[in-house]
Amino acid sequence: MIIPFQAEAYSFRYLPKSRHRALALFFPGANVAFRRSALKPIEFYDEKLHSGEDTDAGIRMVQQGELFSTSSARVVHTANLSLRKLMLQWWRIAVYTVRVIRKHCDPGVEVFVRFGGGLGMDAQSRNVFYRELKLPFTAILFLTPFLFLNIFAIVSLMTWGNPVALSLTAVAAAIYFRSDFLGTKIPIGKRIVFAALRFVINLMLLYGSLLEGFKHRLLYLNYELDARRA
Amino acid sequence: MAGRLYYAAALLALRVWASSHRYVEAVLLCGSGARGNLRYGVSDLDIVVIIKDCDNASIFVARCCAELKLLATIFPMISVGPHEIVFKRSAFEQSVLVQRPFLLSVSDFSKFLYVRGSEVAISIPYRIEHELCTLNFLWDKLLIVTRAEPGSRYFRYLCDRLMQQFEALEDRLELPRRRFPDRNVTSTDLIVWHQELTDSVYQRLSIFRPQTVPDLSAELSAFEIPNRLFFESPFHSVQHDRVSLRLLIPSSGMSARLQAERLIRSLAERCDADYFLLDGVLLPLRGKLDILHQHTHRLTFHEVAGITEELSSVRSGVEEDLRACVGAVQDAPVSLKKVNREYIRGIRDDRNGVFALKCKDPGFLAKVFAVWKCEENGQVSECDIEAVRTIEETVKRERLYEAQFQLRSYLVHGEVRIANLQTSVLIITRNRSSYLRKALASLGRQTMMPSEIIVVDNDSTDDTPQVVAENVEQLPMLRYVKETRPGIPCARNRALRESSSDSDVVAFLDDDCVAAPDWLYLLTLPFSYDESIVSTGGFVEFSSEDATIWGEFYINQRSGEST
Repeated sequence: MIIPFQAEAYSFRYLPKSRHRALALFFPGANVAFRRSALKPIEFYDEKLHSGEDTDAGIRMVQQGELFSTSSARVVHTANLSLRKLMLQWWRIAVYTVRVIRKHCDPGVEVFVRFGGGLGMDAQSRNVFYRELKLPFTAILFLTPFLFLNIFAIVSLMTWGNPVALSLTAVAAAIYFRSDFLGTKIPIGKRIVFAALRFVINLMLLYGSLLEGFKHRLLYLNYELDARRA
Repeated sequence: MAGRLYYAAALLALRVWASSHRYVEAVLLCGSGARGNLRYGVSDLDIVVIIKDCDNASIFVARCCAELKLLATIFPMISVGPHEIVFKRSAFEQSVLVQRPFLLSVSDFSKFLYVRGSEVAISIPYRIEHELCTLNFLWDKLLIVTRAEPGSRYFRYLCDRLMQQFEALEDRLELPRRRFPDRNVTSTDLIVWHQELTDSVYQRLSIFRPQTVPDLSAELSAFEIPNRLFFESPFHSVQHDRVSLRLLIPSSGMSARLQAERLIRSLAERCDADYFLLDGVLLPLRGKLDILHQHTHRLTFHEVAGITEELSSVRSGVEEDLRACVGAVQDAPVSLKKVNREYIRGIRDDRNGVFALKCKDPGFLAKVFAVWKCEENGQVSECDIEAVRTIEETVKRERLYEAQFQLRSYLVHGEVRIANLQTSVLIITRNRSSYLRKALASLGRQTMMPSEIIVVDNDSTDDTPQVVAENVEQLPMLRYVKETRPGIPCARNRALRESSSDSDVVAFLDDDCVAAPDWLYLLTLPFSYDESIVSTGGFVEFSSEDATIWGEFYINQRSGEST
């Protein structure tokens, strides 16, 4: 079962604000309630998924009935994370998103365009192409500045520094890093740390899910993190 | 002269005050523009302080009010209203109150005007067209709100938009078009033009129009006004024969509201506390009018005139018959049902009850709906009365959210269906005993207590069992389960399996979360009113209190939730 924007919901693991409610096919495990009679079997969570189990549960729950977002029911979550935990969490997201998608989607091709804003609450995103095809594989592609940065960088490496490829790389890098360093109010030292973190995590997301996807006959180019304006 | 100087000083003080606050968008003079006011010497002007993202409960408003009250001690002509912050010249010109200063609250205003810096631009042209088309029936005075210089580009743009509206109105009224030699109309021209238009509207409708009412209470004491007419009208109108039309067309509320408010104040001595209900009813105004707007802006002028005729006939005849049989619905002004036909149709078409969940005054809407059903069926059944009573009681207990669900249930099913559900709260934890302590403490503060709480310990090595044991006294329904298989889904499944089969709803809370006191109540409420809902989810906020730099990055990325 795959519907347009479903891939977005998979990758967008977190409950968006109400205007994105259409995308909210699941609720985060930290703050969720179920009708007990709808949990069939009662061991509802997939024990093979060590991360993304709430996404999986949400997708299966949609088929049972209505999901209702009560954003006024609030919990406050601590953000006391170590670097190791942070990295581990993103790595899990990269890997298990693929598994959740593999579990639920039919073969097809989906292309998302994400320029400007990246993936965020206020993301400008478009699903430009969706096709359900009789293919042996599924392809879900997020076309992002980071992806182009990577492609051009690889091309310029392979062509031993072709000036065209190099300049394209530079442009892509400028577009990518622009959102890190423009319009933020974070002090510069922290901003550099954040940009580096974002770069590493984006690498993890892109290649982690790409490699994991190959194992499952799924071509999945992951979304990139956006530099949120704080 | 001294008065005017004093006034200018007060204005200056307000300006300085406003510019020192980021959340104060603008200080606006209603009448003929900021500079124009003193120049033209228009007498009935009020000042509106516009606050960004205003809502009545906003802390900024409270702060603004407090600060303005401080200002008011220096300048006695500043008076601070309950919801809108108003600056009146009444201290030295008593006539201001007698005439009709037209005020807009922020919430109304920010819809169609966008104020940035010293300029005014119309951000949603549709909105202003719409507002003006309906509203300029209501105004005696033309309102141009601007901080822009009268000659500036934006000001001219604004004038052009207004002119288009006037021309549209002329067409609608079938008046001869008023032509100007060029399109550069000044604000005084517009004021005169609007004055003429308003005159012709009133002339056309041949209704009473208070030119200068010396004292409203004196004026109104000539009429018998039953209490109920003063509140719970959708337009917050005073449904008084002579003024009803002026308030009939849904405005974005403030003129009608002020009118009503002023009447109520002037009548306060003679009336009981009932009147002050108005204030409670004022808040929901906008939610209700959203639907109204969709329909009424299509009404033509003749239809509007038709409605008034209808209204007068209804008031005499049908009302009494209905009143006899309605019982609990009796309070609702019966004349509503004619005026509100479109409105009710809007509600009825909304089968999923989306509107009901946004409605800020469910008790009122339930009454309207009941009256409508009464009209359709010829009688009101017991369950309608019961439903209205239930919803109103819930509103009185200040449980708006619940009342909205009850209303939705009433609109969709025709009755309020409530199911009493047992709730289990499930917490899975691993090596986070200090956070778990906080989470359990927050569960102890819940307004609605769960019937059981299960803590699944996913092979912790710290003092988690002790922490749970400490809390058993306070939370007798607390249970501790140890799950040796590692992994979140295993622990969650164990928790689900352990939850008693009597419970209808299971809610998960993370061990490093602190729940708000009404968390469980709000989260589980939808289950009891709607059988089709199988899952609800709330909002997860991040506290930056003890955040590491990595945590800050995480918050920066995720203003949503984390596992």
